[in-house]
Amino acid sequence: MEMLFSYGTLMAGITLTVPILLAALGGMFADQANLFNIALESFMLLGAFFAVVGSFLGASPWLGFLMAGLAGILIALVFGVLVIDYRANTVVVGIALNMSAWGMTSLLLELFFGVRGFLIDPRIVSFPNLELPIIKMIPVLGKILSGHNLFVYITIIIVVSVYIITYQSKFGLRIRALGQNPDSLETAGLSIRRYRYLAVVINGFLCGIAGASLTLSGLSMFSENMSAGKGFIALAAVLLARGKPTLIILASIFFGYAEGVSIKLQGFGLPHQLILMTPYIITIIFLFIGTRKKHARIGG
Amino acid sequence: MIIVKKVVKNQLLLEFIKYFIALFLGIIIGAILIILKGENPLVAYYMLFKGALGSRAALAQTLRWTTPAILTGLATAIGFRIGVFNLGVEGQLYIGALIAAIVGYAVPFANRVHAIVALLLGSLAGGLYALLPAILWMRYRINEIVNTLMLNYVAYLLTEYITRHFLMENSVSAVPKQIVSPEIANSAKLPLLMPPYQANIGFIVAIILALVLSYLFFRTSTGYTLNIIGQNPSFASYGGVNVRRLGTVAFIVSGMIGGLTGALEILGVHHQFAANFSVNLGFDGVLIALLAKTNPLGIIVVGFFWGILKNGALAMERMTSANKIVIQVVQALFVLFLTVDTGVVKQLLAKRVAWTKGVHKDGDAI
Repeated sequence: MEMLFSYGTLMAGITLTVPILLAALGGMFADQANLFNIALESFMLLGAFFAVVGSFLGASPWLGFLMAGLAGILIALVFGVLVIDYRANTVVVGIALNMSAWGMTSLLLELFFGVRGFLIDPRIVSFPNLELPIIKMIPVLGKILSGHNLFVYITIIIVVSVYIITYQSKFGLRIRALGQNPDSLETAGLSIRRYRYLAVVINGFLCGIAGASLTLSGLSMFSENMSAGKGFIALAAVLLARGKPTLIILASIFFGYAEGVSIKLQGFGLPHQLILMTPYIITIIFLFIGTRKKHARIGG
Repeated sequence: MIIVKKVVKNQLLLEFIKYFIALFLGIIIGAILIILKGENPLVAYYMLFKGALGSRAALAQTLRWTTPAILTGLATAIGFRIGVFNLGVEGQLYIGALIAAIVGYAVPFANRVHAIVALLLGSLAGGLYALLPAILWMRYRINEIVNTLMLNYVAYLLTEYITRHFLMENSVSAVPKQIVSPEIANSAKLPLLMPPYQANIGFIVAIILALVLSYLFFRTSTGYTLNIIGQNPSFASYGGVNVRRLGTVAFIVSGMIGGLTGALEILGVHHQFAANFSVNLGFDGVLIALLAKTNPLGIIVVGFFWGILKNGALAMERMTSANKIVIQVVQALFVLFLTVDTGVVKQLLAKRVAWTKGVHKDGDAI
């Protein structure tokens, strides 16, 4: 029981929250554009791969970060063109994209690096761990807040920015309008199509760097299909939160923490599978409760 | 009247061209990927087809992969017919596979009844696993896509948990550290079609099921009703159809076919349940159902094509330096190109037909 709240579990939970949180924030934008995007997984995987490529080529995690974001945007645009302009079914496109991203990254891995399955190379540079100067002196809290990978702090900055943009900027207002009442954009003389594309691009960027966080926050390696369902956990967070960044953050932290706990349990040979199930079961339960409430409101 | 005929004929042709172009583009991109690897794509593709159809062994192995392709395609297609996206075939397949494996080794039977019981219970389990999303969708209108997707992961983890903690003690695995159940009894193993190769009676089951569903869809009033539900549920409801009940039943049947697929995989091929044994068979079903436009006979054709690609890809990888995953990319691109709405092309074509017949007014041509 005590290991559920141990320091190690907490740190692992924070690290595991990062990719889910970034991808879920990205997914939130697609959700706002009324696009049911199950391709988050493929955006992440592509990001994870190109993060490694960038870091390898430039010997800098920042180049990896940038390339991951761009790769995410690129595949998101493919998604966007197909579902926005060609009105293709988002689910079908999502499945096909997930399949092709898995295949493409494995093939490119073989082409660029001449290896199959996975790549470990000292030339892949991760972001460093960061000791926060004054904060780390604070008892207890200092130990929790300081000493994480730089990616954790980047994520915090991104989350805060997304929050501010969503609620304080004109752009955020329009994106929210896109989710709640797209016609109001049209009335205001704005192009719905343009804002849907913008939402998709942001989605791609955030999922791309979510992928980078898998490869560049200390692990410094890429393995085939390494996103392994994280995109779907992020999707669960998106569906629970329905456009509210605060809920996205809470859900992602919970899911990331559950994963951290399950890894600890696995170490002790305990049934970690049951813990890993919680994100999916919770999503089903909450969607049920949410829908019941809505019905009750309409009824009353 | 002549114009109508011409347009219909042209639309069939258009469909054909659309499929051809999509597949062609996929194959070209696949070829580029193979060239980049320094291999001749013609040789690679030749090896693929030779490896899939070139010998008795090759054909048997292709039929082995055709079986789950047809079945998962059918499972998804039933949902599509009534406008339900059952993305949970993968999960239903896992549950069916686990139950079949348990019945296969733990329940003592002396004869072939064993296999039949295991198959039935496996598909029943798959159907039960679809019950929750079916009720949530039909009764409470909670998005079935989300629930079935989430339940896939629950199924992966649940089957792994049960196998690891309750079944694994007496089992032997070829791969070290793999989580597997004990091997099933001989009485539960399915007869092979071309011994010693893996193709088994499951292929016949898949074909019969496709024929039955084809009859159901196109020759019975139930099939007609299902179609109406898919196109316009309120209209069907207005016409006196119990949409909710029929929809739930169809959803569960879809899950049962998913469970049957898993049971056949275990009893026919693997002979023991292994955690994470099927990679994406369920999702292949979605693409297959879509490519075949939910027509069961079309699913046989596309399923066979899928079997050729799946088995051929392995042969291609053995015989050349090309990676088998190229074929997965080709399959995915084929579907992606096909999803591009050809509305623009259709309009052009209709206009052209109208033009040649001297008819201009909108709507006259169709």
